[in-house]
Amino acid sequence: MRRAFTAVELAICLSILAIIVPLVYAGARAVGDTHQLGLWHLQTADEIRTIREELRADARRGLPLPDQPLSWRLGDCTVSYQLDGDVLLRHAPAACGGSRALAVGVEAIEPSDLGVAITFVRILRPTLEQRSTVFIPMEVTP
Amino acid sequence: MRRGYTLVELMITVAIIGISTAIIFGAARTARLHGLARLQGERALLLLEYHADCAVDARPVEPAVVEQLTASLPDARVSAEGGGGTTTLTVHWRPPVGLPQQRSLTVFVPAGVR
Repeated sequence: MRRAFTAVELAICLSILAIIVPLVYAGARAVGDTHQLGLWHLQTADEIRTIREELRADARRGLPLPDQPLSWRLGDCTVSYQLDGDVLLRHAPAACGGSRALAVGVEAIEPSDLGVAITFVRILRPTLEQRSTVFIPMEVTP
Repeated sequence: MRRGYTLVELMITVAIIGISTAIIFGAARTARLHGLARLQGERALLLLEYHADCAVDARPVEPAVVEQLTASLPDARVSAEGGGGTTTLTVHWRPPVGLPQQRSLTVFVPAGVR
């Protein structure tokens, strides 16, 4: 006749599960985080290229506006780069290429005499934030 | 009577779980390192483009700019060689894992500009 499980067997089984489940959960989470960071690095690399090309083209063609960092005068247009939340925007009328979003997940953009430092941030969880600062050399101040 | 699992059966099960876990972890780590390497490649290109701009515009390389550009590019060094109106700039750096990497950029340098 088939006997039922004893209390000890069930207790052992539950103990093993209690140990294994958190381990599996933590492992799966770590794998997911690692994968997400890999994708974030790839996306950041693409965005750096886009920002660099746009900034370089505007800085070479335009005249820097005094007291307005990351702004240039292109003919009759004014082109400026600003952060809207965590989105880096290029503001320009349609005649000068139009406005568009260049990157998301941008925490800060800091122009200096030597170039522009752009800080990208990826928040996976409140306790896990990854930052990456990229410096783009160029003359940005009037 | 029903027998329990043998030690070999348990070991095989544990081995399968272990190998599967290692493969999944390895794949995720590879994806992350691949992304990091791509980001470093882009940083290296920024460094090369800066050196190229300086060469073309015949202006000196600012150490402060190079310092910022190489901040996340371990052991980065730039070399230049050229002739016949072109200069090939090459940057070498050490990636997070694996062999040292390099990236090159060839620029046309006007006559008389070094």
